[in-house]
Amino acid sequence: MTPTAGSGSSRRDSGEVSDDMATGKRAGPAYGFPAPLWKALERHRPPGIGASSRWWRSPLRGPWLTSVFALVLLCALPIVTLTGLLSWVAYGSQPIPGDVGHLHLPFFSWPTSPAWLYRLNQGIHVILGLTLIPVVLAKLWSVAPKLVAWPPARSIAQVLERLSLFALVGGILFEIVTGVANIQYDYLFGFSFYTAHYYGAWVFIAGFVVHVAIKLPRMVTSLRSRSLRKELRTPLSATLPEPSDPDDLVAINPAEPTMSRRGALALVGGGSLLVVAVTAGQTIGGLTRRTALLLPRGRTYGDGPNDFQINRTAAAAGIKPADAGAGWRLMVSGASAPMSFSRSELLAMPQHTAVLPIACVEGWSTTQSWTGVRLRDLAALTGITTPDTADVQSLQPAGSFKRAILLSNQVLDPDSLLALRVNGSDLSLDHGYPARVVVPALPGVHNTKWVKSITFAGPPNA
Amino acid sequence: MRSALQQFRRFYGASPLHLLAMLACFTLLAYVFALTRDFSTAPRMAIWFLGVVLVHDLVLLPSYTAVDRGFGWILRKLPRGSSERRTVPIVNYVRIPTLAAGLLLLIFLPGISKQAPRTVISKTGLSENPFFGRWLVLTAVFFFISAALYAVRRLRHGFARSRTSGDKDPPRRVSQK
Repeated sequence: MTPTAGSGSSRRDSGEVSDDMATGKRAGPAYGFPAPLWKALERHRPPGIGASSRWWRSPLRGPWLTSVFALVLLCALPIVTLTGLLSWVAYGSQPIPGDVGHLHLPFFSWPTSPAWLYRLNQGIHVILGLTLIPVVLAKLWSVAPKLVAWPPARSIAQVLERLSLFALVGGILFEIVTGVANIQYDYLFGFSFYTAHYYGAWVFIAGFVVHVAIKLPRMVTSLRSRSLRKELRTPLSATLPEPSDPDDLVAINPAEPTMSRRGALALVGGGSLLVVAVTAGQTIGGLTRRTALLLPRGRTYGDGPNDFQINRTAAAAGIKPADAGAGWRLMVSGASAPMSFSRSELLAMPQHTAVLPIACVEGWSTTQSWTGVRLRDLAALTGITTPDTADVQSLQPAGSFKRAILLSNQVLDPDSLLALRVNGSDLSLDHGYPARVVVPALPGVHNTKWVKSITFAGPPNA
Repeated sequence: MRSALQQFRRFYGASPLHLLAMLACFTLLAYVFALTRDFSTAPRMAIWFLGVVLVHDLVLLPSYTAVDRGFGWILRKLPRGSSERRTVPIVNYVRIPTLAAGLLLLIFLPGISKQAPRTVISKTGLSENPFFGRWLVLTAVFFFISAALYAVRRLRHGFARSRTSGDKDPPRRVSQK
């Protein structure tokens, strides 16, 4: 398998020789071309950095511990990545960012069934992503000696690998910071969250895939070097440093352990459990919502029919009460001449009730009982029974989500509604009065509120 | 053939597969760069990308390492009576609640520090007001639980020592949290 480039550092007396010494010679570290340059670099070490190998004193650091964290991340990060890329597809014909070249999953019509699909996707993406923060921090802590090791490289291969690590570490930290800020509606960075998080993910993917390809054999070897079961039975008093390793992760000068290896694993795992405990409530909702103690979506509104999570208030969206009042009329157009309906005319049409979640990209969701007119019934009124799209416009004067284009399956689902009522009451203005769209498994922001018009497009009825 | 491979390795420093993996990585990165370079916000994104790495590597990691070392140093300097030599070490009873509180502070800093009161109100209709207080309460709870566990361990340790004066077992540690 591919040997690792990072293993050319100074040998210890342990006699351990890493596999990239293809020549089989044990003498000194190997230098790639141009050797004089790498040797000069090694001699000219900045003050302070030289003694770095003695700074690191933790007796727990070592390839086995690093590999345990690596294995967790190797299993979980692809799930976070994939759900993120799926969310981009779920935005249908209006993904953000729009033109991403070839950097996307194959297009497909995001299904409307099961209705909780987007809720599950984003719940996993956000909660699992948050859960991994302690593991990422622990992993970075465990390899910290590599950060200031001198020389930083002894070959072109090592230079390239260091650069790829910048994509990996920068990518994961950038994704964590932008994601964590976004779920708290903190846009201090001044760029589009969607765009940055999406392209940041691809930088991360580039670093991650190549890191796994290069380090996987090392991870497997390291994991085999100790038995997890045995470690879980080893108390502090029997905790000894790992044997010295070619990557110099194991401290040369280890301090007395203050924590066993199983204690360290429990500490990191406990950190992850703590994060789940205070965030999962925003996705699960119901009684657990209050457990999301530190998140905006853990707050509750009250007990009324309209007291559930608001995604953008009417005031913030610039909805004038007059526009949404008695004079409001819904414009519906398609194959036949445009029609307009007052709210009472819509209420006089056949009503359908569906229990559907509103689930947002930030991973929160809220499930309510919505009542209104089926979108497919409205389409049929305009002379289109098999619409390709429905262009839904809001009264909202500005903003990214004042308009949503629904795809064929999203219009035709029997539970896709132009909702007029929720939980047996009229919608409140903040929830989209006079009428809002609710479509199963559709990203929350595309469930347009304060609907002004719907334009169906497709072949007219035969 | 074999010697050509060896020559390549001596020149490059790793196998040809390594080089191929690197080229794949940098080609993808170049493509991302090409897609984003015309964005007006691209420089800001690049600064943040660099910034998060620097903040982690030069601020976060050194500071929690320093705090941990400093705390360990203080503990070692504390005067200890000979009877307390083999008592239950306190270090993890401080370290673990501190890390728990620090983790929550790190993740929920925007809400705890009321970083974005206007966007939160416009998005949710509610304020960020309770978060700082809730974080303080959670922190207090972590330290309280830790203190209680420590007290119990000390008491049990004391009983065990008084019962079997020749107890040779060092204090065992269970994983807390």
